Amino acid sequence: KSFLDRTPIDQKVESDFYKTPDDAFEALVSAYSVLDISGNGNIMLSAELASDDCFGGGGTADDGVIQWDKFKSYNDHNADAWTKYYQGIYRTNQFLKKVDGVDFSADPDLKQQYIGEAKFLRAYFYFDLVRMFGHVPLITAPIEGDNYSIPQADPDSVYALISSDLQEAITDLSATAVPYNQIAASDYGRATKWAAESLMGRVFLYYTGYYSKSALPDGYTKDQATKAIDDVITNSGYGLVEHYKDLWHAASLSDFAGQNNKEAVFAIQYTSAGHGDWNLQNGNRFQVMVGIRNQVLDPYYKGWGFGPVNPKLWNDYKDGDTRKTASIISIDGEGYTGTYAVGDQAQYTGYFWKKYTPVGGADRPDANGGDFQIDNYDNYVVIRFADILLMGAELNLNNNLSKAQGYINQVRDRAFEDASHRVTLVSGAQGIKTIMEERRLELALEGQRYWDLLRQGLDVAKAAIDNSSTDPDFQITFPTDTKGLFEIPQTQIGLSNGTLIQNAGY
Amino acid sequence: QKAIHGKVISKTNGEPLSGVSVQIKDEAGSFGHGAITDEDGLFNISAADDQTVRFTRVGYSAVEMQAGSIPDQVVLTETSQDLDAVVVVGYGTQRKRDLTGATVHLGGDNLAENKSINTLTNLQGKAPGVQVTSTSGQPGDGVKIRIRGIGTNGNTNPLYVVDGMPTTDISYLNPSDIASLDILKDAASAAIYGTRAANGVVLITTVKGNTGGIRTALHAYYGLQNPIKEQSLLSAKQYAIIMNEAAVNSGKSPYYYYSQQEIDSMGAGTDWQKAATNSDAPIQNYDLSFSGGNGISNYASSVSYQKQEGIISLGKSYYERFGFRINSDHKVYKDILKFGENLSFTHSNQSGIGTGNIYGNSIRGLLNTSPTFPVYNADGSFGTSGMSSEEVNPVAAIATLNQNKTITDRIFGNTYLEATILNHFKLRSSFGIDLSFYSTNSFIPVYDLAANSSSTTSEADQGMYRNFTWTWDNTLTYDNQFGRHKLNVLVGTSAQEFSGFNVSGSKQNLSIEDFDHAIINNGMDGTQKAYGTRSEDAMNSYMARVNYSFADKYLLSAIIRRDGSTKFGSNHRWGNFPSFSAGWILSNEDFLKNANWLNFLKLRAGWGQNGNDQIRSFAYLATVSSSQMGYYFGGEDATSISVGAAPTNVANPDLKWEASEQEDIGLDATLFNHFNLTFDWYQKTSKDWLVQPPIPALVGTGAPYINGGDIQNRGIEIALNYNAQLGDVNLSVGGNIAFNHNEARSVPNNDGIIHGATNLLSSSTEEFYRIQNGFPVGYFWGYKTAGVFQTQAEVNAYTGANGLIQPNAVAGDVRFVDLNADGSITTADKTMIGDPNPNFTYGGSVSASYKGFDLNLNISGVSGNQIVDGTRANDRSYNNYSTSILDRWHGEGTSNSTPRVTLGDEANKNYKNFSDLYVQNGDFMRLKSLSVGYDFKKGLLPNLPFDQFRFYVSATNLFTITKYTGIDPEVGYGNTESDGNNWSSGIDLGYYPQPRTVLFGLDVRF
Repeated sequence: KSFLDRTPIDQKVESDFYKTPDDAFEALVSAYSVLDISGNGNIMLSAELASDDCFGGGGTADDGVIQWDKFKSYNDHNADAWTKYYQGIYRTNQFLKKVDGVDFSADPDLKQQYIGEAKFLRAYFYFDLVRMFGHVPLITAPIEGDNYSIPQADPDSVYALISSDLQEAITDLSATAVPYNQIAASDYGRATKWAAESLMGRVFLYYTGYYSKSALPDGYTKDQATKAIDDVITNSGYGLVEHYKDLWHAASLSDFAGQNNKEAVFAIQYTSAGHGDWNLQNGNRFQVMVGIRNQVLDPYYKGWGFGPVNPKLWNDYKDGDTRKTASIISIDGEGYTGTYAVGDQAQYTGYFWKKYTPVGGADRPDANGGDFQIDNYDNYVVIRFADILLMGAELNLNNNLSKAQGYINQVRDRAFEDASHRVTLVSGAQGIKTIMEERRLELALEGQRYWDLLRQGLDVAKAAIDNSSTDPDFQITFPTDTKGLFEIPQTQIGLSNGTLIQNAGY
Repeated sequence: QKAIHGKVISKTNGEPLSGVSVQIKDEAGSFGHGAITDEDGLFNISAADDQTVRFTRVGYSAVEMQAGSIPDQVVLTETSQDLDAVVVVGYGTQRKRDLTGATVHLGGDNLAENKSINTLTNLQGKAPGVQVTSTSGQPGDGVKIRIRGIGTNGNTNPLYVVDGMPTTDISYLNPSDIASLDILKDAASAAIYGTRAANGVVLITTVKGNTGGIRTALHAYYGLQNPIKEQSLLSAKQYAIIMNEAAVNSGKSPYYYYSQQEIDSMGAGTDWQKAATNSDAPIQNYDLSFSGGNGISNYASSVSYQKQEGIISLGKSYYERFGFRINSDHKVYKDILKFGENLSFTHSNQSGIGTGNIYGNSIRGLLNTSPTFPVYNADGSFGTSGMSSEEVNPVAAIATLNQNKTITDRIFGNTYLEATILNHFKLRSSFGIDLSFYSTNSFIPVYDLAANSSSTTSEADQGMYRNFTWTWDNTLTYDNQFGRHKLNVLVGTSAQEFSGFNVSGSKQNLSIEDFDHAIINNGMDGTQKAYGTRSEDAMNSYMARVNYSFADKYLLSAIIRRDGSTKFGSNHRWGNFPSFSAGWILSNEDFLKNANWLNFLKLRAGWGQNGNDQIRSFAYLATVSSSQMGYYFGGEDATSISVGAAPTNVANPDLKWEASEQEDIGLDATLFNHFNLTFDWYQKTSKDWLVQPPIPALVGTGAPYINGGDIQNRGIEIALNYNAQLGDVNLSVGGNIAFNHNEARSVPNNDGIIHGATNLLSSSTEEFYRIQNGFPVGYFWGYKTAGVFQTQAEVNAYTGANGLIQPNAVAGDVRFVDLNADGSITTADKTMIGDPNPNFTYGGSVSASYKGFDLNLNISGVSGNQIVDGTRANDRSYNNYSTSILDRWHGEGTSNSTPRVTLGDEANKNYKNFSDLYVQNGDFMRLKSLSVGYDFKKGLLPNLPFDQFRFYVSATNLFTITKYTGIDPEVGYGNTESDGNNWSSGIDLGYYPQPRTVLFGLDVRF
């Protein structure tokens, strides 16, 4: 070897990697790690602020928050989300490109499972991306060379990829599918056949609703989606936790059902193990955003006060609905009137998130040398079993009303802890409306509401989101010309050499 | 008449001077013959006491004195402009007369005038085309050097070569150890350093020993430093009124923040700048050197100590350096074999407060904090803000958050063996090392300064870094003369290897919570973190140079260097760097030989290519990283992370050398005996920059390094010096000026732009500096404004194709110029609104001596550049304002330049839009140094047993003429924190200012 022939000492090189199943797993994990990224790049948070569940909030001097609430253009808004999802897409594309070079001869089933997980993740990233931005470049392999100017694809071709990826994931993950109680704790958070089927149902309902279609662009039908959801309900071993409040850390300190309880069909895994290291992205960074601004009101820990809850949501819970106080902190209702100070909280309503608000005391995020801004650790349950029951109700509504009614009853009975508060489903639009209202109450502040509004149509979304008030802070008008899509980050448009077109309305 | 015996020595190094002509003035007033000094500098003459005796030697200023007052040792001062001065040119020396490139030669004395413990700061204003800017006035912080403009988007610092050993950092050098400094500005001169010469080369020669008895020199000074000025900020009362007004303008009730009663009781409030000032911060320097030799072995050794404290926050920022040096050479075998070494050891301690970008910048805190709360409460605890739970007491922040210390030990030097064969051949082998260890230690206490500035655990951080470079040079020189032909040929090889090794770590919950005990082992188990890296680079080079001259009139020089570097893949591992230059000494031509006014005239021209490889190692590869790629399956309950790995960037196996191509045409002249003139025109084109331009995020991984783009710098440099002996007055006056025009060409991105960072001025500001085709590097990009809307009617009248151009504006808001006249204010209306690169830089100096007295002054300045004043963070409405806000709009006709005040930024985005409101002219002229000294040996006490016994008082930064309203117009800060943004400059985010220093010193030689 000559004096000048050297290779890096402390890093691997691409050409020496992707050889063993362990390498393949590391490549797959790198795609999973994207799920954890960022508070501001979190679709869940942006979509909640845009919805009618809550307002923007934050500090009076904060920018970029209220713009989500009020659908305003803002400098490089959503750059974190755009970047994050393409990072995830790159890593799954890279994995799928390299996986055939890996020697899996000792365990061919493992290869199939990894491919299934990668396809699930790619579909997951694209689904968030296309919901947020509508018109996105479709990249299915790592970009070679230097042609980075890739035009936006027709949403149908993006949904076709999502659909085929998910169908392949369902197939690839079937061999290893086990019911919830057989899943090893060390596998919590991995994509399963159940997660893929559930996401398939969600994609089907969103696409057919938002675009007013009867099937996915690749022909995937409602029957198929119904079967997939029914399969999860019947066979996955997932189910409802007995008490609704036990789902939420801040609502149930002593009886918390756990971060990966039997209702968490797919949950993004977070940890406080980063101990204050800002370079790591394994803590839940949206939690600090929604915590009560700058104040520790025991048992809750402090945060930045994003998303003050709309009093309408608080008021729409019926008496006896345990979901009300499990989902929302009422400053007056919980007796903080004297201790709480508004300070520079923007759009103060008297209500904060309880779901996902950081927990104080010994469980606080900075208890073990962490930083309260980045070391929150509650998992974000992307797909909850109650959601699957409600999707099942929606999909079965017109073909099997009694099945649908049975599904929604489970949700309703758990919420009120009795069987005397049931709602009656009827086929057709009225039944859908009932289910949607139930979704709003059941899934409040979980990142679903905004998309549920959009898939009912822009007029429904507008009617719900528009907020008239004498206080200009609370005047919100949903601009239908945006079609509910988010602003594409300006810098990315600049870098695209004119290839990327901004969404209407920004 | 009587016999007078004496000795003549050089002021620079105390060496005896041979060949000095000693002449005696006769009655007719002309100087007759006298004597010539011998090898030991000794002379014998006979003269009457009242006769004037003149000492002259080529290369030195003449000295005249009465025969009766001739001291035992006559000291002659070297004139740096002298043509027979021998200057260092890289792997050899040349007479200045024979040079064909554009270089600057500075003697050690010349450098010592500015009295900074940083060698580079001493260069300010001394060399045309060499711009030296402090990146921070904090002791021990660096300076930014740009030779002939900015030619790369990477590191712009030149290559330093100390006694033949290349390095990128000379902070270890004690200025007193420097005998001379030569700056190679053009490609033809610098080409011998090939790949590393694109930013110019600075060659430093340290003091060497000479034959003769032991000579001792002592230099000492002690001074006091103080801030030059404070930023003029609102008093508490003014602040309260402005905040209330802002609240009203943002739709809140009157007296929203402060009642009239509260306002009435307010005074000046807290002056945070004053509260943090460390007045009369000392700076001190002591060095002692010995040199001598017996003709076989010569030596020069020194020991030195310096300490400088910062002018902000007592005890928090300082730089302390101790060092010694041993230089010696020995004739091992007759005149054939020679051996020697130059070796130095330096130990330094440094501690500092936060400087740099907006995060943790201590100065920015002092300028932004509201003045309405006290530094300390009555009980001695730190005062807390009543305006916002996020606002931090900046004095508390400095005290709490800046507990750190860096200790550096560095051994730098080389050893060589030289053989002279057959008279004309010289074989030299030199082996050099640069070994530096530095350790870092910092402490974070448990603290609670504000809502988002708190820590519930204490933490200790420790780090240890070892960097080692060895260089092995082998050269063969052939030097001969054939009649009127002179030939000098050099061939050589050079090999170099760098290795870095570092470990660092931290642990929390310390058992003893203070800085002294901030060591990892005092921390609690389970919270520790560890980091470590290793890196290696290597370079291999071949070079050749031919210097030829004919009849002392025609000069030719050609250089080729071939370099191989591990930084490039096998496709482009090697690069070739040629240069040619020629000179014509017109004054030796017959037709000018008799021109009385012209003593010397040389025309020069050169062309050459240099390289630059200043990128990280293995940038051409796609490395697979596991850092920040892991995931915790099982979440909070997981006991370990699942490691992930993915490529961090796109590979580019075709990555190759960055090249800088330069043409230079110049002349050197000596006119009317006393004037030295140097003129240069140059054009420097940096090609194939090594750049990592941002790529669209949809690629999903990091951008590759690529070659692309050109930057062109074109300019002229003029230096004029006057030296004369006017009776007893020795006078030297010099001035230099350098014009430079800088332009980026063919930026390789799709949009022809390298984008600057966002969120630099505050947490949500857009990009405002960039590199773009056809514009200067790092120019300021933003909106033009055209005054302030005085009335709503003016807003309503400002219409275009889409109706109102600024629909969100109200009276008192800024009117932005719709440059493209499309009826809206969009980014398409942004344009160049400033340029951080000066049109010209200049310097001047006067030095005069009369008998024992001497006087020295130096000025330096820049002109035609702009500064972005980003000291106020506009994202926090309660931040204090500079008093210029008192000129704001607050009703029709009140102001047409400063918009109304609001809480946050209202819809018109008066400040969120980056506009010319932020930009100011950065021209300044500074009296860099002024000193007055008295040498008792030359004056009142000629019989002192010393060669020199000089006291002086010296002041630096005595005054600055500028229109810039910030604290200090010498803003060297650019956004160096963002990867690859080294090219940005002129951004004032709150800047540690240069101190004004008054110091007293003593120079003794014997």
